[in-house]
This record gives sequence, structure tokens and C-alpha cells, in this order.
Amino acid sequence: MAVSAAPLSRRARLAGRGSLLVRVARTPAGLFGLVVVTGLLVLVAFAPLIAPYDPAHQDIVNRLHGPSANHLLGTDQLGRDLLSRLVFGVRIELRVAVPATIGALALGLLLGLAAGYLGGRADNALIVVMDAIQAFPAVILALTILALLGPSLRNVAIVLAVAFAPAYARVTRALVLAVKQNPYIEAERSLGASTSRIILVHIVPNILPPLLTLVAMNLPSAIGAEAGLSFLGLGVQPPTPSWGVILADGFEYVRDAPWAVVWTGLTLMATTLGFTFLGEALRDQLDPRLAGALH
Amino acid sequence: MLQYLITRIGMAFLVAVLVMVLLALLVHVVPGDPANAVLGQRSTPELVRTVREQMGLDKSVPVQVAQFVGHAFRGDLGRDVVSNQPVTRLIRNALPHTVALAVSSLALAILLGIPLGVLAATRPNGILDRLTGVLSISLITTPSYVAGLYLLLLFALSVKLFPAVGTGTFSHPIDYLQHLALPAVALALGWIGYFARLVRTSMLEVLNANYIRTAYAYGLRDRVIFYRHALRNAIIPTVAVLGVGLGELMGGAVFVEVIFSRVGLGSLIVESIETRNYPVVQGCVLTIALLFVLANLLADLSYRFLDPRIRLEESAA
Amino acid sequence: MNEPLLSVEGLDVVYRTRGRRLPAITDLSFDVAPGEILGIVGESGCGKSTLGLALLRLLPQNGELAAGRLRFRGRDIAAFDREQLRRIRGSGIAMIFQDPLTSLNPTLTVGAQLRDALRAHDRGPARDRRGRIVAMLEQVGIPDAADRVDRYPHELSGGMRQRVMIAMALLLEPALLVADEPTSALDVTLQMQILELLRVLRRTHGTAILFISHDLGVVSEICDRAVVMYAGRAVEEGDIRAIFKEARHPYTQALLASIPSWRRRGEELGSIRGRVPSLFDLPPACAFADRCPHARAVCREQAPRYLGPAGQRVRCHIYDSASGYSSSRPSAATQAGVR
Repeated sequence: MAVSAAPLSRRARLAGRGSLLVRVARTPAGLFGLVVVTGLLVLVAFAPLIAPYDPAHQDIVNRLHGPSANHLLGTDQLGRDLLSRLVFGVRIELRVAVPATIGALALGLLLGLAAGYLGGRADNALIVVMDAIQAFPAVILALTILALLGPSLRNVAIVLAVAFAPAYARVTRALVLAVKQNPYIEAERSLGASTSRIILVHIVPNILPPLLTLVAMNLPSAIGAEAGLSFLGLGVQPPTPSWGVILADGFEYVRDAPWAVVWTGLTLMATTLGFTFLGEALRDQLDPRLAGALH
Repeated sequence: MLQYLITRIGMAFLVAVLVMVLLALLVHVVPGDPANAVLGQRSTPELVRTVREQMGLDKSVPVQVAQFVGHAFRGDLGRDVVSNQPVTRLIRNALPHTVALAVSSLALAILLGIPLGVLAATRPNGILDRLTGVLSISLITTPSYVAGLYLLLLFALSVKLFPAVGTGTFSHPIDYLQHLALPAVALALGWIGYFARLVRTSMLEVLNANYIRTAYAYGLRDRVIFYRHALRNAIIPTVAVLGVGLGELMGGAVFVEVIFSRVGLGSLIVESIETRNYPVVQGCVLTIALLFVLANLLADLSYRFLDPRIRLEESAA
Repeated sequence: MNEPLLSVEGLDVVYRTRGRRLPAITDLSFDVAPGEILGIVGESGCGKSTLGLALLRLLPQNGELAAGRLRFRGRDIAAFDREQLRRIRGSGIAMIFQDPLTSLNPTLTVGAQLRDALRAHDRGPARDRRGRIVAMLEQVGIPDAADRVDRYPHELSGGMRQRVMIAMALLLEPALLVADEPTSALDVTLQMQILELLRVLRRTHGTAILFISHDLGVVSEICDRAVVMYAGRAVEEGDIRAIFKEARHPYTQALLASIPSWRRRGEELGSIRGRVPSLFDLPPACAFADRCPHARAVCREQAPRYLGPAGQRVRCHIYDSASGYSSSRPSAATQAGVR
């Protein structure tokens, strides 16, 4: 039992974890990413405390005003405070992006494990299916499915999970194929370990780190995709303050009151940039160390 | 080479057929009655019956799929639910404008992104290189609709350099180009960043090669070495990526067409989804997917053509 | 009179790697006379390839000419600026590289690459260029030159590629040709052909050749004189026949003894015990002391001087009457050396 490598790799990872964040914070890009992501998490947790107004509170008299003392970022066409809507929007974004990404990860992991470990016809079938799904540009695929399912927050998450899953499946499959070569897998099998045990205890822990960096890089794409779909009116529906919805409202009145578009655009850019930098910094730290963690 | 050409075109054809099959099946993958899914709020018992008949839902699934594929090959993609026009006519009206948008964006991305990448590679880790790096990532991560909206704001609404709305017609080329400018730039930005990064990495690898050392050893001028000797080799991996690029460009085109109120497949799809005009949606998606397959095929063939080592496989000494 | 074509004086070349400085070449000095073929001999890592690159300043980013003078036709090219260097590359000094496949651009035809070399130095009217290129290809022995000129490198065989490289080198009529292992990638028959080609070219064009090689057999075939290198330093130089008949430095003797020879067939192959020291970790004083069968205490304490009549120097305490070698005690580590 002590022969298996899994406890070793887990321990090796834990040993480095405390200093991982510190090391990431040392690079300017990593620091920016950490600040942005931390800021977003704070907003998620404390939105009601930070936002000056209720995001649904309408004040028609003051509609379409620019930034002022009362409304730091201005108001939208129903007099709602833009800042508050953007702040609460973080929750909406994450409520779509996180399940979508986790769903894609889970689905991709399952399919990739099956293809990689079982090989043969299962593998071939999977490749063909993944290729066919990836033959559609992601946005187009999402649009088509939403056309059938109908627009809603839940459906956007489902659609994005399906659109992103092939990428995870491919990476998982490649990793599984690589890990499968390791002699200790063969050793475990000859000791009589069951397939599920081998997969759960030995393969998964070793392939998770690169998949997790993929998740970090995927999250901003999910946020961007959701905002885009909602912007088109095909995702989250108003009055829920998804950034895409705020953007769509702002677009309608952009000639007279461009504030919604300006601030939401900046928020989206900062968010996607932040996650991307963080993801890249994490990958730079984790990848070279992987060589040490895997036995 | 010819052998490969035939095989590759055959494969592309198979993928095209598979795409059609998938589209036909899509309606059934979704939970619930397909007719209801298509009609949504509009469904009444009569309409349901009509749609079921139109879509052939009373027949078995394989037959439906075969019918769809068969019709598609004959150029029949069904009829618009609202106006009863043939879907192919609607697509034929919209397609050229989307293609114009995609091609001009790609051209812009190539014209600006590649030199940027080469410049960054000439002085690695210099100021220009770092700036380009940050710029590239910013451009890559900015969604195309954000870029489109900002461009609209800045150059069409605040400073009225370009029109904010409309497509123009081909018979008035200058006007058409004016309407095309901002949308094309919005789409191109992400790709400029991507190409710059890709070309930079490729160039740095190539510049380390022995044959570049030979070029220096014979006193060739820097510009000749970069643009004639190095770029030829560095461009090959970039071309390989172009096929995928066009596909993503199509995705972004949807947003840009909506933002600038342009005629095109993207606007058509969005409009049709809002009016639950499923046959049109299906037709547009099929067209786009087929264009994607075609683009990948062209990119793959160009890549093999550009590299003399692959091109001349049969005649190697 | 008799001004050397190339005069290397006190050359130091250093690589900066892993935060440390690696002394690839130390205190190297030699001359090349016009029309002479000088061999630079040594094992891998002795610095001979670095020498070739250093002459044309083709060292990688982390390489540096730390000290010394390189006098070519009387001018110090180590102090040349970029444009002066560019003009001399190919036309004054031309280099032939070791691996002709990777040294030729795969996406340009052979003719295009040769033409670019001509164009870089503005040689002759444009319309004559193709003719000159084809003529040169014929001269280096490429059959069907008019057709081959439009082919890509990967369409030619290894021997032909090497000839193309030689053609490129000669196109600009350089005074000095630096050949870095020009025959190592070729089989024996091809080797002989290329060597013959070089000999003919020296005869007809008067080109001097700096022939860099680890292969003593090949060096003895073609060189007039040779410099033997070890761990970045010159240890012996001299007339080729003198070196082969009466090598003085123990390293040279060991090298010669390790060449398989028809005359000594049936005997065990000679080898030098020990390994070439890492350049990070050179022994103090004489770099060869640990492997030398004649080493004495002084060899580990004092660096030997490079002494002797011009063109015949040797770096060894044995031949330095002022070194105290004769009075020094044999090193405890000296064992029965090379046969």
C-alpha cells in the first residue's frame, strides 16, 4: 500500500502550496491577476455591503445620468445605479462561469479518462465526436443549442459546459495516455487493483494540476462567452444584472449615455485580463514543478 | 501531393456530412418535443402539427436525418417560418457580407500582426518586445463585442469618422468600405494579438537555426535575413493556425454584425433565434460550419504547399 | 615581407552560462600564412569550433570575445563595427559549417541562397549572377549544375550539400576559408573527394584554409601545419610532418597513439586514461596534468608557458628549461600511461 505514488505527489504539492501564491505574486502579471481575482472574490462575498444601492432600485427621474456624487458610475435607462449593478453582476458572472467550467471539466475528464484508459474503439469514437463538436465555432454552437433550449442563466451554463468540454477531454486523454505508460500503473494492476481504484487513486491526482491551470485559463473565456450571449439577448434575461445584460441595455442608449458601455467594457477587460494573467502565472509555477511532484 | 489532396478533400467532405447529420440530430438531443422546442412560446396545436410535418418528425429519426442531408445536398434548406421564403435565398443575401467581413479582418490581422511579431523578435526582451507582449495579451483576451462597442463609441459616435450603422452595397465600393472599416478592425484586433505572439515565438525559434547563422556568416543584411530567410520558415506554423482562426472569427462576426447593424449571417442567426425561425438558424449554422471546414482544408493545403520539404515529397533525390 | 594573412594574438573567448563564466578559449595565438592550410586539432569541447565562430563573430548571445586581437590582412577585426564585419563576412573570410543540411535554408533554393550571398556584396551585374553560380557549382563537382541550382537543399544528397556550401564559400573569392569539420558528416569516399577539392582550390585560387577537425587522419592528409588544442588552449603547433613523427606534447603523443593504424594491427587500441576536465572546473596550472604520464609536482603548481621558435611552440614544462621540471619530483599519481 505504501508503494503507490499518489500520497507522495499529494504531499509534494502540499509542501509547496504555501509559497506558491507568494511566488506568483512576485511577477507583475501574477500580482495583477491576484489583485483582480481577490477583488472579484471580495465583491462576490460582500456585494450588498459594497454596492451603494440595490441593483434593482429604479429612479426614473435620474435616468441616463453620467458619473456624479450620488452615482459614481452613472445610471442606466431605468435610473438604476451602474456601480451597484456591476458589483452584483460579479455574482451572476461567476454563477454561470464556475458551473460551466466545472461542468466542462467533469464532462471532459470523464470522457477523456474513458478514451485514454480504455483505448480502442471507445477512444476512436470519442475523437470523432469531439472533432465534430469542435467543427462548430463555440459561439455558433452555443447559439444553436440556446435556440432550442430557450435563453436562461441555467441554459447558458449548460451550453458553455458542452462547448468547452472537448478541450478538456483532449487534454485529459493525452495526459492519461502519458501517465498510463508509467511502470507503477502496471505494477498496481498486477497486484490486483481494480480499474476504478487505479483511475481514482493513481491517475486522477497526477493529471489534475495541468487541468486546473486549464480551468484558470478557461474561466475568463466562460465569463466572456456568457456576457456575449447575454448581450445578444440569448443568455441571462433582464433584469438580472449580468454584465452582458448591462451591456445590452447600455448599447440601446449608447448615443446619449455611453457610460454603461464604457464601464462594463472596462470591467470585462480587467476581469478577463486578470484571470488570464493569474492562469499564466500559475501555469509557469506549476508546470516546471510537476516534473518533481510526479514520481 | 496529388494523392494527399484527394484524401484530404475526401476527409473534408466526410466531416461536412457529419456536420449535417449532427445538426439534424440536434433537435432530438434537446429534452422535450422537438416541435415545441422550435416553436417555443408560439406553439399552438395547429402550428405544432405543421412543423411536425415540415420537419418530418412523424418519420423515424434516421429517415429524418437522411432527408435533411439529402435536401441539403440539393440546396434545399427548408423555408423561413415567418415569410415562407426559401432559406437558401436568405443565406445567399447575407453570406457575401459576412465573407467580406471575415476576409478583411483576416487580411488586417495578417498585415498588422505579422510585422508586429517580426519586429518584436528582432530585439527580444527589448522595450518593443515587452510592449508588444502586453498589447498582444490584452488584445487576445478582449472579447470582440467589447472591442466593437468601444470602436463604435470612439470612431462612429464621438468622432464621426465612420458610419455607425449599416452595410452599404457592393455597387458603391467606397461607401461599402467605410461601413466595413470599424467592424473589420473590431474583429481583427484579437487576431492581431494572436498572430503577433505566434510569429514572435516562431521567429525566435527560427533565428536560432543554423541556416540563419550561415546567412550572417555571408554578410547578408539584417533586413534580408529577417524578412526573406527567417520569415519564410516562421510563417509556416502561422498558416497552420489560420483555419481555426477563421472559425473563431465567424463567432466574433455575430457580435460585430449586431453591434454595427450589418447584414450578414450573424445578424440573421440572432434575428431568427428571436423569432424562433429554426430552419433559418439551422441553415445559417450549417453554412458557417461548412465554411469552417473549407477554411481548415485550405489552411492545411496551403501549409503543405508553403513548405518545400512537404511539397516535393515525391521528387526528393 | 611574409605578412601573415591571419594573426591571432592572445585570444580569450568566454561563455556566460548559469551565472558563471566558462573559459572556452584561453590565450590562443597562431598565424596563418597566405595560401597555407592550417589544421586546428582537438577533441570535442577543446574550443576549436568556438574559434571558427569567434573569428567571424558568430558566437551565440552568451559568448564573448573577452580579450585578444584578430589581425586579418593587418587590421584587427575583433574591433570592427557591424558594417565592417558584414563586409568581411564571406568575402574576406568565408566559413563552411559542419552540418550542411541544417546550415542551408530549407525554404530557399540553392541558387537563391548563393545569389543572396553575391547580392549582399554587390558582386557584378545582376544578369551575370546565375551564370557565375552555375559555373561555381560545376567547379565544385556538382553534376547537372544548371538543373540543381533550382533545387531545394533537401533534394540533394549529403555530399552535394557540402559541395554547395563550399561553392558558396568560394563564390566571393575569400582569402581565408574556415572549414569546421567539413568532412565529419560524410562517408570515407566523399571525404577524399572533398579533400581533393579543397587542395585543388588552394592551388587554383590561392585560398588559405583553417581546417578545424578532431580527425587526425584527415588533418594529416591535407594540412601543411597544425595547432593542437586541449581544454581551450593551444598545447603544440608545428609542421604537420614534425607533429606526426616527433610530437612533443604528451597530449599530442597520446592522440597519435590512439589512432588505429594498419601497421599496429592486432594491438589493443590506445586510449588516454581519465576524462577531459570540465571547463567549469579546470585543474590549476596544467590542464592535462591529471592524465599525463609524465606529470610532476610542478605541473600542478605552475601553468606551463607556450614557448619555442615561431610556429613551433609547445606548452609543456618538459621543454621549458626554466620551469624546474627536471628537479621536480614525479607526481604520485603518475601511472603507466599510454602505450
